Amino acid sequence: MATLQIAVSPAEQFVGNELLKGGVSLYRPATESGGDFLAKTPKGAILELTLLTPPEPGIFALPDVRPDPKRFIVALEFDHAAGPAVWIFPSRVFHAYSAEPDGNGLRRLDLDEVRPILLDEPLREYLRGFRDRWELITDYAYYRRFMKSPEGYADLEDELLMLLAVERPAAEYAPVPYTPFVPGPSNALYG
Amino acid sequence: MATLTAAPPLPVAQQLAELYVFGELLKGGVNLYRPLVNAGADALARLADGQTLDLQILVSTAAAGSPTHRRFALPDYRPRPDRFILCVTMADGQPENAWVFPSLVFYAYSTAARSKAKTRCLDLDSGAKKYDVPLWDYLRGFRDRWELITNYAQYRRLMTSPEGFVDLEDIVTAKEAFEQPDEERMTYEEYIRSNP
Repeated sequence: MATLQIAVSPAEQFVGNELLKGGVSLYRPATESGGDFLAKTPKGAILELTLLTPPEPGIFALPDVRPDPKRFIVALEFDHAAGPAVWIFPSRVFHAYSAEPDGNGLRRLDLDEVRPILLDEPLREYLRGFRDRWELITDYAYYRRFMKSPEGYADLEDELLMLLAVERPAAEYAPVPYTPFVPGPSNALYG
Repeated sequence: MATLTAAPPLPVAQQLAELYVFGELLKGGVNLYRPLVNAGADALARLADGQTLDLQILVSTAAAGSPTHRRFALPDYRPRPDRFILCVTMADGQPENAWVFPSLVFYAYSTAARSKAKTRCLDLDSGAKKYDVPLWDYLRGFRDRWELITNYAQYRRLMTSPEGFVDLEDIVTAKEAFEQPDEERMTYEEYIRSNP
């Protein structure tokens, strides 16, 4: 049986536990200056994880770094009412949707920001496919192919949204107004 | 499914061995990562070029002179170029030496246990019959050879084939001879005795 070896923060413990369910081992730096976490997938891929908790609700800030297909941003929101929400962003996705670096060199991603170009819905809604999407890490061997090009990332967003729609159809269902077809003398079934 | 439970502390000897290994590797500029959950590798080492290596740290707590002083065992595994087995011997409760073995070297010189649980056991005090000297002497080039990890890029090409491993053994043994010539020196009388 695996055992927790060292004292960890609740966020680390939560992420470690969720990843463990998918057979992924989480490694923390042995020294304070060691940087981000490493995750080892069942197939042996080593991924770099940056764990973020928001300074303000819905806002995640990160030093500007070069996106890498093997780097993920794990952004945690702890809401006592709704429970924890975890956003698993490939670093390129975080890079693409976050604002340009501020004076401190930090890129900020505001999930409640509304952008007209993105269907006038908050980023939280637009990027909902990445919420609790642990399989991006646990099944990295499958998703890796999406992370090789900008087109791949667009496909990834679509794929995740479709997955979400299949998993939670009620949440995705939007009633479309239509008039039921009733055949009649003025509305023949066969014209 | 593995679960997170309360943490039993690691044995003191294992902790000391890990600290010793981590200390030596940190001197070489390696970033080290410990598992949040103790399953699989004992540590990951991340080098400056982004390469990641699996480290397995074994410790022998048997006293010097004991037949198991240099005996190390671990569950059977498949050797990989990016996996290292570090065998730490203790003396007076403190780490004495660490043998930095690429996983293929450990695999090649260890024996498979015949018990139900498949393990591989490397006894560095054995091998005198086969190699004329015990394995701890035969493989002395790997003792405290931290550069196999800290300077992995240079050695990587030797770890991808059995022929490469033979070359690696020669290289580390020659390095050891240069570094510690007193141990390697043979008097003329000894030479005559060994070549009658």
